[in-house]
Amino acid sequence: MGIVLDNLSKIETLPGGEIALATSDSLINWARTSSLWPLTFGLACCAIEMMAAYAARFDFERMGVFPRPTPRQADVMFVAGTVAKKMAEPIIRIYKQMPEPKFVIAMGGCANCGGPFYDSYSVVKGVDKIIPVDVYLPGCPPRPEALMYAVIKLQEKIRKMKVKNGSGATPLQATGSRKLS
Amino acid sequence: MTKETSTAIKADQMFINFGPQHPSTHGVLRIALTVEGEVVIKARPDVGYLHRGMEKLFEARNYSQALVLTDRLDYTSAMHNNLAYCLAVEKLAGIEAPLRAQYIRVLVSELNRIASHLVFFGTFGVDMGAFTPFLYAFREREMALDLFEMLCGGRLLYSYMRVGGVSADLPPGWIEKCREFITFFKPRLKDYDTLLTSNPIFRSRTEGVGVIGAERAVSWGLSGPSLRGSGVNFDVRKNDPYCVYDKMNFTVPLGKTGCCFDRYYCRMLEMGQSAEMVLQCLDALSGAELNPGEVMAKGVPKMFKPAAGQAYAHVEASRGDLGFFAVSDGGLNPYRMHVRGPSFINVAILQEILAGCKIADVVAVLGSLDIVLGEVDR
Amino acid sequence: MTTEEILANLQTSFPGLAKAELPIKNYPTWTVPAQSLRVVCERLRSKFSFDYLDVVTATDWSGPASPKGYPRSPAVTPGATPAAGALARDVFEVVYIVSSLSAGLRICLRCEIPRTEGASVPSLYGIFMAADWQEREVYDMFGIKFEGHPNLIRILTPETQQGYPLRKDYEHIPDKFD
Repeated sequence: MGIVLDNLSKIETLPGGEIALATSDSLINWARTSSLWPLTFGLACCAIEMMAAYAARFDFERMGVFPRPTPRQADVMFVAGTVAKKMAEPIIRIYKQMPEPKFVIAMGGCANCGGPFYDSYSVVKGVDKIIPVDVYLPGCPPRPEALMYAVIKLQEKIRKMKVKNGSGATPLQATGSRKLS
Repeated sequence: MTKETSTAIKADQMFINFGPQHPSTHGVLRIALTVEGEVVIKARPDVGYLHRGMEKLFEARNYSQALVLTDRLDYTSAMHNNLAYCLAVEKLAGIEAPLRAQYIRVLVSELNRIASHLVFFGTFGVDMGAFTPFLYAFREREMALDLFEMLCGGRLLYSYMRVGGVSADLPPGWIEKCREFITFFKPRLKDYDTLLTSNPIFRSRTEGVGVIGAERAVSWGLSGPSLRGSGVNFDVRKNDPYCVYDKMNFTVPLGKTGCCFDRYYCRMLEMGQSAEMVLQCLDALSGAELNPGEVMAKGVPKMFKPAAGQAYAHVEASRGDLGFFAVSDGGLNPYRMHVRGPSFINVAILQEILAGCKIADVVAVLGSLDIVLGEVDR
Repeated sequence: MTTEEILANLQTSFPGLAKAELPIKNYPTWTVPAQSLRVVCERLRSKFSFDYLDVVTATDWSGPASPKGYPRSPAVTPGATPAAGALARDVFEVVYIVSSLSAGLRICLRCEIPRTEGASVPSLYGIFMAADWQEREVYDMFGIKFEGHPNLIRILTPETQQGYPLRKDYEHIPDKFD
């Protein structure tokens, strides 16, 4: 219980020490940040750095991050790589298949804004044109440590979530993916 | 069983999408499978989910900027892409890189081949269900990537080569560290044999699966270990040598039957050959005649405008025969730059060999062809 | 046999076959008229064992690419230098590179066709299976039709793509993603 008491905010221990009071927000957010399960969604070169982050040297699993192959069991989606226009529809469909609360980390220059292919006829210039993004991670490709830093930033964002706001961290998330006209 | 119940159960055909998002880490490839029970009747690969229009973008960049885009083709072995591009443009302009630069080019190409085949080894194991080889492969790969980072600052995408040579010489202490890596790496190949090659589950899943005959392989234009696994002796480094490969001492491993296991084992043996070549290059680069030496040809201008003409250069990349067809009109931009991507041509054979396989064999065959979608879709 | 001897041998049956003045460096290059392309390749494969098709690609020679082909202004405007427009001709040039693995020879074949709406070249499907997807890619990028190809549909560009991107006069029409 020591770790829990250290990490949760606003804990009051009643005299006697057997019962602790905390906000449900802190407990729920602690659970959410400690076991973020991402969808393995490598599109291009950033996928290799993502795989290196799961491998032995950088070991993502010590942060609770454990890759899931199916969107139905995933909390977060790392969009790692260039989003081609042909791939946009499958990305939206997969995003909709993820259960709430869900988060997106745009990894790499291509997912942020088109990257080196900013003037290409067949590239979506940034995945935030089609789905809402929580953390943008620049780099071409970003190092595995940078990906871990992005997850840490996402954890800081999750800690600010409140139950009374619904399941989304931002109003954009509450509406789900953007509608394309 | 009585006569009435021994009639076969008629299974209707079902259409399944294999991809574009699937857990095996090959990228965004979709294979439209028509299956009857567990057996694949028809397979139609559908590519283009990573099409970035690179050939159009080459026409809108000057020659130095286009080099940066070439890294992103086969992203697991970026040095080969750089090398093929530089060779094609050097042929256009009639430039030759100095000897020290050529040895460095061969050295980093072979080191990158080791790193790329380690990715193949790890992901092929994961496809077959074995997760442990992935961790071992990436441990070795991290050491090779440390060497690259010490050399040029990049772990995965380098842009290290330049038209006329390489961008920077080997830093002090690099040669010793590289020797340490190779000394550590060579006994590991036996570990990999214990992990996967002699594993009975792995062998029964890959031997005899996805057999490609030699004549079919040549007709479909396969190249690289996928072609050599069928017994065809074609390696660009021996058939049409470039840089200093004609001075290197190495053998080309060949398979016998063209099944998945043969293609896998060709790559494992190639890693050993690449390690030998790295040592040969290190010896040459520390020798007196190349040390010190120029790493960049003289007289290559910053705003590079080769004379009008056409050139084709190809290299033996990790995935196969990677070629660049360059057309220049005398201007700052390439007029046309076509990439002959080996993975694009290798994927086409899936239409033929997947018919009759079981669904689980589809994963084995796809993994053994070792494609990278950056090269398929460009 | 060297490539010169093979050329001399084939020129007796196909007078349109000729050695190109500006070769692709550094490989022997021949120009082939479109109507004899398929027969020449069949003869190369059956008689001279050129059984491996390396590359099928094409070039549009009608001048520098239009900057309107890029959704955002490109890094370096194509044709920004004086020499760029001088070589313009109104043709498509389809390039094939075939090799003989046993003999270690490589030949480049160039076939020029006028740059019209119905520009077409005979397909090499059936002689070399490697032509299957590469011809589809050339069709997708340039709009050049390959007669006799059983499945000539788009392969790389998305379904929403309008126009043939690698043509020099391609103008990009913004779609819902731009």
